[in-house]
Amino acid sequence: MMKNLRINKELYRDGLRQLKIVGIMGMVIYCLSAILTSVGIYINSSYYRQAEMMDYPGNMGIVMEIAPEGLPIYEFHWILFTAFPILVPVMTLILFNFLNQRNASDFYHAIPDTRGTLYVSYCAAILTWLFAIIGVSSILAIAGISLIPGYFVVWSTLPKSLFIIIATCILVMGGILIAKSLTGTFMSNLAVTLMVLFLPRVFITAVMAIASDMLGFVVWDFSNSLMNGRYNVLVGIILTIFGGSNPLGYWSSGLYTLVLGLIYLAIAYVLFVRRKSESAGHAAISNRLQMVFRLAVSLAVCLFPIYFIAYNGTHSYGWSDSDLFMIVVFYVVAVVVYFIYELITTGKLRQFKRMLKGLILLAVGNVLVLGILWGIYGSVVNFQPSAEEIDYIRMLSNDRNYFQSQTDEIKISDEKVAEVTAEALKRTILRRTHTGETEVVVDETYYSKYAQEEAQVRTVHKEVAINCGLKTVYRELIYTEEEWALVAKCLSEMEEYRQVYCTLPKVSEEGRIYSYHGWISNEQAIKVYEVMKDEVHEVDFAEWYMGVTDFYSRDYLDAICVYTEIPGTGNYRTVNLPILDSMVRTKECYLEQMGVEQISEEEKTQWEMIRSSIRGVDPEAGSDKNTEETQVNYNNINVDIRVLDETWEIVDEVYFNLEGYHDGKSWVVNRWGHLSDEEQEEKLLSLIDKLYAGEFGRAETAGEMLMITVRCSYELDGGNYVDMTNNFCVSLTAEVETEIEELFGYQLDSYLGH
Amino acid sequence: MIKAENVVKKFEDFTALNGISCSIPSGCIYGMVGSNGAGKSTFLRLVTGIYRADGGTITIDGEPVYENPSAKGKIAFVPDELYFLPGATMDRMAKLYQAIYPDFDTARYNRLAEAFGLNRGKQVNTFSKGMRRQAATILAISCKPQYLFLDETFDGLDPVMRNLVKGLICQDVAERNATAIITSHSLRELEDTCDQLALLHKGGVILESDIGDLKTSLFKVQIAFREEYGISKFEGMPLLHFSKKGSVANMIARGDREALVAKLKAMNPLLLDVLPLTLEEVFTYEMEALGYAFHDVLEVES
Repeated sequence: MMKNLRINKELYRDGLRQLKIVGIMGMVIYCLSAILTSVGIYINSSYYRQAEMMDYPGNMGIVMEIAPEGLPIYEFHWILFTAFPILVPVMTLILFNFLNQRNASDFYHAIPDTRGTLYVSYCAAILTWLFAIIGVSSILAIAGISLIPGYFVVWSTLPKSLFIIIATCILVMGGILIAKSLTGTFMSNLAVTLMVLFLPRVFITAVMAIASDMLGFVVWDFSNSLMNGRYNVLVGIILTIFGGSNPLGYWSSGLYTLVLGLIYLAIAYVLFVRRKSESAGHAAISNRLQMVFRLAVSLAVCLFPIYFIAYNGTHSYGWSDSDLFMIVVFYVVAVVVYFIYELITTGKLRQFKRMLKGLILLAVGNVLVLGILWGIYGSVVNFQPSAEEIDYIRMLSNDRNYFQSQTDEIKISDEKVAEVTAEALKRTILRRTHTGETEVVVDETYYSKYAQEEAQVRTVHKEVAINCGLKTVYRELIYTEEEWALVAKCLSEMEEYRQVYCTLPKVSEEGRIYSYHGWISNEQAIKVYEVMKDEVHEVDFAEWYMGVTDFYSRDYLDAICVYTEIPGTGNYRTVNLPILDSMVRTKECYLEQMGVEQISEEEKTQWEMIRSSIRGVDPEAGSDKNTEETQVNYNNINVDIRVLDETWEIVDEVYFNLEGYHDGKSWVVNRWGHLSDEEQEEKLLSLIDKLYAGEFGRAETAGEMLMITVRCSYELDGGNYVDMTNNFCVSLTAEVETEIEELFGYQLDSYLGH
Repeated sequence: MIKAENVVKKFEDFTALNGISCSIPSGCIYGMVGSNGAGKSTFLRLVTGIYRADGGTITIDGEPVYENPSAKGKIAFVPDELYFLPGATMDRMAKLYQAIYPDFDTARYNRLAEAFGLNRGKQVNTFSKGMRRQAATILAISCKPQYLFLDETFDGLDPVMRNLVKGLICQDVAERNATAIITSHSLRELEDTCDQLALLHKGGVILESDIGDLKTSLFKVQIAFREEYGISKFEGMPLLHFSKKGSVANMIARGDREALVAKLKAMNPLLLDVLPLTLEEVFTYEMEALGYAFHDVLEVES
């Protein structure tokens, strides 16, 4: 068969000739789009260039400079993304259309060359037009952007985007050719193409989702496995609608798609060579295959009722009427789809009796899928080893962070850990199988054993690997905090663990350090981090370990976020390091840093501009009373005020949001928080005035204080934007206290215990 | 030489050819007749490598045809349902043939297109049925194939064009020792063109013979005697058919014509007349001899 993998130059040329009209039209449209997009960008850029030397309201004389803007290919040559859903299908359907017509099929099968050569030559013709259209139009687009001042092509994304587009085109072409080799009418071509391109992923994704829901405590990490939908660019693009990660950003997605596309082309080659000419005009090359197609489509619909049955069958909720109704409805839909597929692809229900028999196979398929799911479920749920049976466990981190990458291979053989883990596993299985993730307890056994315990005890959810000899399973277990503290204590006695968790990451040039809440600058965060690196050796390890590994469910003054490389992976992730209450020196340094923030002159000026803009607008007056010069198109001022007690615990916080826009009629002010009228609003603005003017004293490192964050996002007349954030750490003096109390509308004393 | 041995072809549950065997020598015009569904077109598609046989073998000059460019290079096929590229003119189709068939003779194509008076710049699909068939035949003949397969070729052609096409086929056979295989429902159409004929029925070859032998092997005798007589009077003579109306008997006989006539003359008949048979009649009586009812087998043009 491989010897037929050659191109017949004459057939290739003929393929090019047959695609001439589509090819030339495609070339013209793609090139025109490339040119017009560049022209459009140029017109927009001219508009902004005119605004280059614009004064802010109030003649402040500040000049805005527009920095050169890099454009990725999907912005300046977006039409390339229509190549795989439009251009390739059209060309493939045209050139291989002979497979749908009996006389045409006979003609091509009579030519003095092998089918393999015909296939390869015509595929080459399609790819030639495709590359020509993509290549020429891309060159034009790049040239166009290069000529526009103020814009440049982001070269780094160019090869990746082009590679991904071409890989997807090949995948689509392969899918269509498989479908065309298996079917012989346009409608069946279409239906089977969609099946080939999407159905495998639909099944994988659905079964994964069902299994994940049935067994919520099993750790399914598909993020880097080929099971992740983003690897298939075509499916990935659709999954982005449902929140999936964008496949266009990954070389690996392009590579996977290309390999899959080449496999599809190879399968299509084999099918094409084996295809009988007499299949042209038939919905499928055999009755059996037609039945397979019908069953595949119907089975995809059946996944919905399978989900209901599998989930309800493995949880003790019982069957609600609505569930039963949904199951019946979906099965009816599946049967309707079964017949509709036949009707659409063949135009008739020719073999109705045989089709009815096929429904038995559909039922068998359902039972089979359910059987497999229940088999998996039973095997997972019944795996409940005793402490003695556990050889060791490994602690995994839910977010695969810096420390976990170094500790997930450390084996913990401690008997106490095994004991609490075995107990946690039993608890987790009982809880998840009876109540799912969130439902209340309904089972008596469960209630008597665990419900009250959980109602009173805080729990910690941890991912662990449990090893019992040859078998290792990965579970997300529910530990009580007491159990988890015991685990942490055991780990604190393990030097390997201590070393990893107490050696904080060094930060390279690519790395970054910043405050979790954003209350201090990055430079200040670095200073705090330096103290933390030293002090972490002095704090209780168990407390530190629990803080790091259970970061999100605890409250801290702040945390230092370190964006660093995960050792040995080349990947960068952020690790959150909490400032524990026991880290006295770190905490002190942190508050010192908060107290020394300086407001720049430029920021002060910007606030002045915003202030003058607000004053120029009468919130109550209609648009006719507000002149063009004074109207504000959009603004948003957020003020977050947090009150810290002597121990620097946040005892109160309140947020104010001033939002305005000009709707052509009136200036509207929306208030949130405790502002109730214009008077209060003016008080808040005065507070900000004083903050920027530096009228309040900076906070001391000890004692009560206010942490105030002011964020201004403002569009001034003429289209200029101001976007700034400032943090103020203010000592809670009597003056400030009075002012804040007036603003809040209640006594701070009640909180601070004055 | 084309050789088919026990060829079987099935379409799902339907058997189109059931163990067909025949051999077609080079340099002849081979006719195939048969009713609808007899398997003529299926046989041609198997011989041209379009279909793959489910059983048996088909070779051209000793080579298998299916997926064999070398054997298929010797073939041109004009099917019953013609195919032209969408919107293509004759010249565009000629380019396609030129690309596909290495021996395509452009000069011959130009000459033939001129002779047939077809508009080469007009879309072929706008041609009449007969003109499309002419176009397809011109293109096929221009390929100068060693084996030319024509399925219902004369269907839709007017008498002038039929003769022209027949002449071209005969010319190719005579000048280049090409082989033409022609299928038709009409025996008369093939009678004056073919060297050999095969009759297909329900997926099998019922009869295969040289056309000259067929015509001379059987003859009709009209005979009458004074006395009463029956078929027993002719015992020992090679008769295929005997019927009598009054004193005149009609007989179809096979074998040595002169010897039989001499024997009959010796019986002193009142009337003795020997008449030639048409091909249709030959087939009728041969079929009778094989146990087939003629009218079930052939659709004879009136």
